[in-house]
This record gives sequence, C-alpha cells and structure tokens, in this order.
Amino acid sequence: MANTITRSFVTAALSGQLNRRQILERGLALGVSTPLIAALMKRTPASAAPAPQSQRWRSGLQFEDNGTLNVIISSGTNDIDPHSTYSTMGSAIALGSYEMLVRYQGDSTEVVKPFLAESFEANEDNTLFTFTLPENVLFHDGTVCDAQAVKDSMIRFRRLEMGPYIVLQRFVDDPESQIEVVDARTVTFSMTRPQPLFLAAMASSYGPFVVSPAAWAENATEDDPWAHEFISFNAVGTGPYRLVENITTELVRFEKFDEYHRGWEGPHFSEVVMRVVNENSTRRQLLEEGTSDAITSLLTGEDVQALSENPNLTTMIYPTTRVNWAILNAVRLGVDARRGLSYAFPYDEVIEGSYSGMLERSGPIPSTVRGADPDVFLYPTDLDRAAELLTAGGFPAGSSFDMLVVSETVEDTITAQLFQASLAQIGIDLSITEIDLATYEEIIFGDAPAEEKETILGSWEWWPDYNDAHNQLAPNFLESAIGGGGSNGGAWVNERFEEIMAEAEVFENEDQLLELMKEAQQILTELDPPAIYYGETLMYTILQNDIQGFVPNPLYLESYFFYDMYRVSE
Amino acid sequence: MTAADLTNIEAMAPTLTKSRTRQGQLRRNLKRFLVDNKLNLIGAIIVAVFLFLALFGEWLTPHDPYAVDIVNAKLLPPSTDHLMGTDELGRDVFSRIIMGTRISLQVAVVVLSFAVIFGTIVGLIAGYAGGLVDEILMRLTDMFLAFPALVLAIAISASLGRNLRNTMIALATVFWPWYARLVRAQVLSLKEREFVEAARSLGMSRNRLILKHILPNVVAVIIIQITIDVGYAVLATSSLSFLGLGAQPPSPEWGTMLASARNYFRDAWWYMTFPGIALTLTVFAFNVLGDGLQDALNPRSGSR
Repeated sequence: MANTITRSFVTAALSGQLNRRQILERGLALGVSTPLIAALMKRTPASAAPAPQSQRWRSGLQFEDNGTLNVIISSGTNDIDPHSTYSTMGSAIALGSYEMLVRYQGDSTEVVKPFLAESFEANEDNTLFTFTLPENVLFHDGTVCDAQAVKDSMIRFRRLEMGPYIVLQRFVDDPESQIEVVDARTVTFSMTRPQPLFLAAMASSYGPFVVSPAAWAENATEDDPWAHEFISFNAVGTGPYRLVENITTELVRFEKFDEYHRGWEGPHFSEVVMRVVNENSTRRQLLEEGTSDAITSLLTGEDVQALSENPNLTTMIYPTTRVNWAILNAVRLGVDARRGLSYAFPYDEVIEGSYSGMLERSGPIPSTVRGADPDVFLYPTDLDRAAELLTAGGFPAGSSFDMLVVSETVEDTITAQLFQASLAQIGIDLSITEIDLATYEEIIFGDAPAEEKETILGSWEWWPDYNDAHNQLAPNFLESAIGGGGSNGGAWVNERFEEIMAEAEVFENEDQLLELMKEAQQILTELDPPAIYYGETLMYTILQNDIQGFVPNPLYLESYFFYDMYRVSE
Repeated sequence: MTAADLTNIEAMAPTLTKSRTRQGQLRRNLKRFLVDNKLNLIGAIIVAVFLFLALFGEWLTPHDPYAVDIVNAKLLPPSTDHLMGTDELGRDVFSRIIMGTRISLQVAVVVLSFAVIFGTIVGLIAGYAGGLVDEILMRLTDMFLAFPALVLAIAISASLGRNLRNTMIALATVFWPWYARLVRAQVLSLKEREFVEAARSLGMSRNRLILKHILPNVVAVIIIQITIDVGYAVLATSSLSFLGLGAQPPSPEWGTMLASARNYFRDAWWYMTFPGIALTLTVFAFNVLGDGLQDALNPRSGSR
C-alpha cells in the first residue's frame, strides 16, 4: 500500500498536479527521502499549477478502478451541444461530461443539491440566488472554471436560442445584467420577480450545463460565434468523464477525467462505453451473457419479464414524469373528431398489451409533476360515443384516418394496430405509415404546415425539463410551439389556453398555479383535446447485480450519473 | 406477292407454337421434367399449393387474420386452436401466412408483368433496330443494371414512400432491364435466321415480322426467366417489407411478419419460424421449377 501511495505521489508530482509546497508537505508526510523530494520540486512549478486534486490527495489516495461500465443505448446523436440539444441522448452524454450548478437529489424532483457548485443559497423571496464554486475546478481542456466562466456559459445558453433555452430564459432573459460575478468563486443570479422554480430549472438535464468558454472562443467563426458546430461534436465540460469517442451509429466512449474537482476516492469506473444496439433481442442477449451492464427502456415487455427473473440481473421499475400521447392534427380534425378519436382509443388494451402495464392512465401532466390535476378527465373507450362524435365531426363510417408510427419503436407499432382494430369496429379505416425517428421528429418539430401532415401524428412522449406543469405543456401546446423546433406538430391553438399559460408562467403562489393548471388540463382533455393521452410512464432500468450506485430519478430519464456508479466484487 | 404467299411463308417458319417436332420434344421434356426429376415434382407441388392458397386462402383461414385479441391471445404457442401460434397482437399466425401468400404472389405477378412487358418491348426494339437506337436503349438499361438491385429498390421505395404499391414500382424498375437484355440478345440472334430473312424478303412488315416470327421464339426463354424470378420477386418484396419499406401494418405480408417477429424470437419461436419457412419454401419451389423448366424448354438443354 505504501508503495502504491508513493508511486501515486510521484506520478502526480511529475504530471504537474502538485505545487512545490504540496510536494514538500506530502513527501515529508510519506517519509519520502530528501533527494527525491528535491528532484520532484525541481520538476514542479513554483506557484500553483492548478491543484484540483487537493481534496483527493488529502483523502488518502483511495481510487478504486472499477474498469469499464457498458451501457446499451438505441442510437447516438449528431448534436451533443448541451445548450442546443433536446434529445435524450444529448442529455445523457452531457451528464457524463458536463455539470449543472445543481442537480436533483436522489430520486427527488423537488430537492436539489450542489453539483458543479459547492454550495448555493436563495434569498427569502427567491429573487437572488448565489452559487459558490469549489476551488480549482478545471474544464477538460485544462482551463479554469470560475464564476466568470459560469456567467459566460449561461450567456451562451441564452443567446444561442436553441433547443431548451427557455429553461433559462423564463428566469434570466438578460443574462449579461442578471448574472453577476462577485468573485472568482461566487456568482449570483438576480430575478426580476420571485422565482421559486429557478433552482429546479437549474437542475434540469436539458440546457444549464457549464461549457468551457475557451473551447468555444477558440473555435468560433464569424458565422458561428458560439462555436455550435464544434461543441456539437466535442464535449468540453467540468464533468467527471471526458468524451473520447462519439460515433453516432456505434458508441459513445468516456474516460475518467483525472482532474475532476470532486476527486476520485472510492470506487468509480475509469471508462464508460455507451454502445448502440439496434435489436431488442441483441440487447437482451448482451445483458444475459453479462457483456453489458445496464439498459434503460428499449426492450419489449416479454424481454423485461424474462430478464426480471434472471438471478444475475436487477430490474428497477420506477415512476417518471413522462407522458405518452398521440398528437392529433388540429387543422385537419375539428373538436368533435378529436374527441371522437379519444373515445375510440383502446386504452386498456394499449396499456396492457402494448406497454405491458408500464403505463398508468393520466392526462397531459403526470401525477409526479407539480400542477397535475388528480381529477383530470380521462376518456373511456366508448365506441358508440366515438362513432357519434366522429360522424358529427365529418367522419362517418367509411371514412379513413392516417397515422404515423416510428418504426423503431415496438410499442408504437402495436399501439397503432390496436387503434386500427378499434376504429375498424365502427367502420373507420386507419392507415398506418411507418417512418424512421429522424423523419418523424422533422415532421413534428419542422415548419411544414399541418394541412400537409397526417391526421394522427404518431405516438409522442414528453417529460418536463424540471418539475413544473407549465414547462410540460408550453413546448407542446402553445401556439408559439408550432414549427421552429416546438413540438406542437398538430398546430393546435386555443385562446383560453394561451391566456392561462401566460398567467401560469408568472404565477405568484402554488394555489394559483394549481387552479390555472386544472383549467388548462380540462381544456386539453375534455373540451378541446389536441392529443390522445395514453398515460404516464413507468420506466425500468436493468443492471447487472454487481452494479451499484444507480438511483433513478423521474426527471433524469434514460441517463445515468456515471460517477455515482460502481461495481462491487461478488 | 399475295396474302396467300405470306401465309405459306408463316406456315413454314419454325415457330415454337406451330412446330410439331418442337411440340413433341416439349412433351417429352415436360414428362422428363415432372416424372423423372423428383425435385421438380416437389417444386411444382409446392408452387401449386401456394397458388391454391393465394387464390382460395380467404376461405381456408381458420381465424380472421386481422382479428386482434391482445389481452387473451398474445404470443400463444402452437396449439390445436392456433396451429402456428399467435403474434404480439393475438392474431393467428397460420391464417396470416395463408393470406400473406396472396400478397406475395400478387406482388410478384404485378412486378414481373410490368418488367416483362416493358423489358420485352425495349429488348425487341433495341435488338431489331440496332444502331443508334440499340446504343441508346442499352446504355439506358446499363444505367439501371449498374446499381445493385436491392439497393436501387430500397432507394426508389424509400423516396416514393412506404407502401406496397411503391414497392411494386421499385421492384419492376429493378427487374425490367434484365428482360430487356435477355430479349435483345435473342432478337439479335433470331433476326439473322433464315426464316426471318425469308419473311423480310417477301415484304412482311417490320411489326408483323416481330410479332409473328421473332416474339414467339423469345417467349420460351422469357417464361423460364419469369419462373426463376418469381422467387426473387417474392424474396425482394419481403426484404423491403422487412426493412419497413414495403407492406405496412396490419398487412400479413411475410417480410412484415418477420420484421415484427424478430423482437420476440427469444420467447415466441413460432412467430418467426413459420413465416420464414413459408418464404423459404416459396423461393425454393419457384427456383427449382425455373431450373427444371429451363432444362425442359430450352432447346440447347434438350440434349443433356
């Protein structure tokens, strides 16, 4: 053990991680001979090269290398810029290489804890938030992450105006003036009015990551001042793992970032590989034979059932903030037709048969999110009522609808066929078109007019960036979310809903918010449904028994905090 | 020259249909084809069974192939009630395979009809006209042949949209150049033959000469090629459907069934096995039949 400690000490000194004072102190403490200390001091700068490991070295040099964590994913992504990507995979990669100032604690969707920040505090009326950074935080490019870097990063996030920027913009529309660098380690965010949800938003895994300003400054161009193109393919954060390989169709590989500010004491993986596996059956096989360590979602109900009975694997099932629904084309379908389709949908069959019971009926806001109405109107399957409403809406027996389905998703395909069979019972034809995910997302997020789109725009799923009903509804149902990256693909517009959402955005107390959201949910379900809501998702993660440290959080879906995870020897 | 002269010339021409010698040889070859070669017989029987299923399948299915019962009958193994088990929606796999037969053969017929008609016309024109016309038509044909067939079909199918009609268009586009090449080669040979020369020298019009003397002599070769290509057309249709480019749910097309079944093959072996067997048998049978017919109908293979 003594040899290991000495060797580590020498290695750290030679790599410039220790300054001369630290070498002297630790060398003496370890009883290393004077000539060696002298030799090391000669090789070391006088003033402190950043010494991020101070905490680690103080703690006794106890890094236990757990080797490689192998995670199965369904696909990579072409955009890993954390300030622009809204994709699940983009977020999952960001959580490996970047950090937000705070994150949700454990499985809580309410309580946040420090992440990049060492500590944080809010004033009494939630108008001023102060974050203190730890000493000597480094980005993966070796530059220092201080309060100014945090401010610059938030300015980039806001000004880039891509993807999830509304997460910050709702609270900090003018980051240049609202964010203040107090000193190298302290940064404050001042609000224009009380913002009790600000910390929750800063814990989102969509957007508020701190990116190295040096990285984008070096790679900025006249046309791309924020170096979005460079950051889309390169991750330069402060997170525990450096992205070393990102092949969209094959794998994403991370390596331990030696200078990570929380240090490496205790058991951690030195490498993480997220491997793209396209086939359900192959995914299952990799888990059964122990080649892969973890998977979240991406299996059929039958596979989950079989794997849950495997003694070598642990299956965790947990609630999420995600809701599944089918987007209805509000331009081509009137209110009666949309309500009729909602009555025709075979909810029980879909939940049991298609999702193997991994859904629970809900409206557009899941029960796990603040603002959900426990008495929200849920359509029953009622084919007589459906026929009546569809006829009134201009779709009598003999009419037909068309529905998009993402071919990669087994549940969507089955759901569409169950819906098809249900509609056939009242003489309505449903033609199903399978398309790939990229095309589907282009249809939903793109600018094509709704008149040119199918009547039923596939199975959509959404969860909020943070625990807030407004954030769940705004990107999907506001008029401003039609085209241009919003997901109001069915071009649904309701004036009263717009008014409610404007009020809810600046809510003053929780009661007011609940009241507003209750009315919003009534409009979105019973009165003027823009979608058919299947239910909220129960998610599963399957791990090898020797993998520990994974704590599912209803907001951080299909992603992992790799640094928290480790392997135990049996 | 009178019309009677022309008729006499036609009667003398050694066309397939009018040649007693050829007919006799054909009968002998067919007998040898079906009786002497057991493999051919098996192929013919299988083809006959599939044709029967394609024509009368809807009256033979024990269950409605589209009837969904996901709650009670999802992925049931083979039993007396469901001879080949059920799929992920609780539908009877046996009934769906029977209905899938019609779809597969229907697509093959449509695809090959277009490919044969169009390819034959192009081949006849190119072969008979020769010169610049031949050059232009053959370079056009070469353009299509330059692409790997399935890749071209995927590209066409993907760009036109995912449905069975577009699959047929894609496959017909892939298949016709082969017929054009085949027919052209035959025409180049035939047009130099004496009976054609004779007809031409007696003043027979070009169109009539092609229709009466050249085309009938090409038919046998085309039939052989069609028989072989049916299997490939069925396989290509299923391949495109397997990739999600062909038939769409709830179609019981075999490729679509296989695509869905691959998600369940660890727990429901029957779901992937039976459509796979149906597809294999069809392709095998048509290939065997095609090879056998080639032996029986091709004059050059008669002496073997």
